[in-house]
Amino acid sequence: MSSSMFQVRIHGRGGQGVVTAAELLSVAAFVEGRYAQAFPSFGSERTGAPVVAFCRISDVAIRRREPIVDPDAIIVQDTTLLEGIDVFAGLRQDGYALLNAPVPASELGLVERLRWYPPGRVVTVPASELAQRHLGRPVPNAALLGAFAALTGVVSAASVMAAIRGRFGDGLAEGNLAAATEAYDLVRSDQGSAARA
Amino acid sequence: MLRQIEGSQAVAAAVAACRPQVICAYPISPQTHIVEALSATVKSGALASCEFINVESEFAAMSVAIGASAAGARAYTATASQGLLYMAEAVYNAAGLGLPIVMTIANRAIGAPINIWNDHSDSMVMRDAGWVQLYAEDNQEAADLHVQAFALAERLSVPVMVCMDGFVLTHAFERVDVPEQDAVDAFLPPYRPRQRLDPADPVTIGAMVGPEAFTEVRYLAHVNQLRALDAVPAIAAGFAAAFGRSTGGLVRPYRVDDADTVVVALGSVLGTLKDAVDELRDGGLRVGVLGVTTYRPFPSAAVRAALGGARRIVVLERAFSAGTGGIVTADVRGALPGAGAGTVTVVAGLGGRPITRASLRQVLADAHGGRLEPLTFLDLDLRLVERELARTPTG
Amino acid sequence: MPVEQIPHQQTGSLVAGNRLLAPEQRSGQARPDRANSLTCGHRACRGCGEALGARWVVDAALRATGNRLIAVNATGCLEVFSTPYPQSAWQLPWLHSLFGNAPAVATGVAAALRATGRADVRVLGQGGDGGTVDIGFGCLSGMFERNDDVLYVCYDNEAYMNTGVQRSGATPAAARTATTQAVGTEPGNVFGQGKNLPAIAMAHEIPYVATATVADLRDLEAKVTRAMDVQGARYLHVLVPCPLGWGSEAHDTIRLARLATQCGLFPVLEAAYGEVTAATRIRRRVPVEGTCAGSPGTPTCSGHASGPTWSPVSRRRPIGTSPGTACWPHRHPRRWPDGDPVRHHARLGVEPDQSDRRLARRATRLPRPVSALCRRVPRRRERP
Repeated sequence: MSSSMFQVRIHGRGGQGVVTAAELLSVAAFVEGRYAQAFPSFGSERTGAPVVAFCRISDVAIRRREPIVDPDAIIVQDTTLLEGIDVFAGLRQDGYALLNAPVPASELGLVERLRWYPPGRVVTVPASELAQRHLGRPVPNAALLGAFAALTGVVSAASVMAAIRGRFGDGLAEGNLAAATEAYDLVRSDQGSAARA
Repeated sequence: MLRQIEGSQAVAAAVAACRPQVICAYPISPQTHIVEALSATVKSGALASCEFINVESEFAAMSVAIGASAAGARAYTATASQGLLYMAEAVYNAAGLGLPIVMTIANRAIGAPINIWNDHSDSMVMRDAGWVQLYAEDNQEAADLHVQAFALAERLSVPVMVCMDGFVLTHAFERVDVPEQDAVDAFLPPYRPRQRLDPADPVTIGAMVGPEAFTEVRYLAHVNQLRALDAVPAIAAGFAAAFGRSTGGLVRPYRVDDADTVVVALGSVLGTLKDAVDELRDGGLRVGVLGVTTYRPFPSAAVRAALGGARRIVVLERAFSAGTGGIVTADVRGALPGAGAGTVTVVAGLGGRPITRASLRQVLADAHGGRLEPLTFLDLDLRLVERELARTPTG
Repeated sequence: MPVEQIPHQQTGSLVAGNRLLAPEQRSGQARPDRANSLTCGHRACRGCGEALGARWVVDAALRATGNRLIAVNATGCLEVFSTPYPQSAWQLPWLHSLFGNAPAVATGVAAALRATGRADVRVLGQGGDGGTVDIGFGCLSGMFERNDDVLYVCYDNEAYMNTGVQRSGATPAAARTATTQAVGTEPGNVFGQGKNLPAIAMAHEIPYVATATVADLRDLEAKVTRAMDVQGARYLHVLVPCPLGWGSEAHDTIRLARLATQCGLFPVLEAAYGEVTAATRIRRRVPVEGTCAGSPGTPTCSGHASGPTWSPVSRRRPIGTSPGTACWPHRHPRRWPDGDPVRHHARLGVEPDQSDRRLARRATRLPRPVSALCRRVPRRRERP
């Protein structure tokens, strides 16, 4: 059963749309006719406090409700969390890590980590910058989901876009869609170059 | 309509489809998303002739519901934890007056120490209040149970609590077939109160009853509660026929037929338990799960029938009685011949402690091997408690 | 405005005296078709001021609404003596839920009436002073704040009489109750405590607040009628002497209520949206001494002297006052309605005396009353 289930853990800070990101990811899977379960880490979510949210995606109904301790992927919305929290905890050997940063992962003090995972599995994308540019606010979640689709292929870009369109009103949807699209393209081209390298 | 939706939103949509006429609310985590959504629905005008009343306390919330129901309106409210305890007096009063109020409990622990996370301490306190108590396993069932709850409440003239695990269900996004308005309208007729406050036909409701008749009043309430044991399955069957899915009912057995060991549990832990049971079955252990959906009135016959073949019974509880142990365990034992010898209690998931498959597999394997104490606290940090006990003078 | 005053010598025992009045001046209770909403056979004590007040209030409300009225009752004497199962003395739809929730239950009834298209039916909530100023206060304040369409009536007998005369937040200073015993030379209830609920109701800026007593039937009926003309939250505070709790004679109920107003202890007034609009003038101020059946007490209305001179209501309890004796402005030396007792009594038509001037000097050193602060806040509710 686990083999058909893809589990994602999202780290961020209150106000960055961490829970919304998990929700959107689950909606993207739902759009594809699959089962998905998204849930927050149930804290008192104050702005700026570390927040975790989870998303499971599966082809069959999901029954379990335990927190995800061995994710197939992690999304880190705020790299300042790297100092205090082991965001990689339990990440599977063949897993993916997507970080919101304007610099490569090697410049985030993650050289050791990069060695543990296959090439191209630990990826950064400047999601806050993209969001700032397209949305006028540095809310990185939509851009990260675009990048996530490109990185993992677990959900399609079209599904992510459909989820974003369904969640946000007209004004916000356009900016988020643009940020997600650019992030998707960025990671796709990086993956392409990584594959060539 | 099939939607990927937050549990609270799904419940709010289901409640709105039941066309409540008075909704009263006081905020408490993790109930808030439900009443926030209903507030917006009422404001939008989508719920014709519904009054949404923001009150100053949970005590007032239940009191407004009492007044509304007695005056002939379909009344709904939601609460949790401290809020449920704060309204306790009115909760009993609603049952005593036989008012078919439906209330969602977003199950949460009770302080001190203050804790906003999930367990069943709150609704367990109210198990003797005279309300029917239904526990949802997932958000589909949580949504559906509300439609069934209004039907049940109004058929029997009793109030019904729909309990759903706070955060675990209320804040989880999953696929829910949200009951459609047309289908709910066909399933749930408009509320016709048995009696209501009406100047054309004045009645006195809530008279003082002395020793000469109080026992009889209470006995009649008991008999009425027991009628739910027939009404709940009938309504669940009617719902299944109308909506094409099976939710609600008294109990929900899973792989119990040939099981030596059966775990009895309530609420959202059932899903994780089923995964754990499947994994143990793969390893050759004959284990099963019995979900109790209707906890009050307690479906003793259904529980006895489902547990008949099991040698060992584990009652997994998200609340307990300090100094005594399991609460549901007492009900399960009472339902079994020989007072349920071999029934043990596992207290788990208090104050939001995650209940993991790994822990469940271990405790079930121990139970199967007869190695479980009568009362076990799952994942208890023994080092911490022993250090504390060593510091505390005894006697 | 208060109703036209009928000289006492003309009306005699109020109801009988109605025969001397023009039909339109007669009280509702004098009409043969009165509702008699709290009918005979109930189990109130003889001389019960609350039973009298409740019947007058509910009858007047029924008349004002064309019998389209539902009553919600708090736990207390009124509920207990009127509905011993399987009997009920109520001739209108009536609901009792709990002690502390009558205003909220009334809100629920009003909401249900709106939701079920019966908004022409009105709601009356009622309870004693304990159920109103103490345990039901949160629900009452919530009902006021939401401006729900409920007339709430407090029958104030100044203590928890149903449970055996214990102190409430409406018990006057120095009053003897079962939980504020007069021991030795010390009087009963503590000074400087208690709530002025009509003033609190006014601070909510609800459309209508009034006080009344069972001594003036026509005034009480007029206020109920006026209240039923108004939509929104309304509050009526009725002084109802309790022979059992006050240690008074059953035949003195109305006399004590009248004296309480005439000595200035219980101001009878009306207010709209937080402002006093009318007050019943005191024609000839009587001393509390006379009010209190020959007590050795003070000759003023204030009752602020100390020591064993506290006015008892009856000779049978010579030490300490009964709950019936001190009116609410005087229970609250820190909260004079008009800022100080001189101005307060001047507005009531009473010549200020030595004691008033002394207290006024003291009052100027005390914090400003809350009501004065409230007036500077912009009014939220619009007058219709």
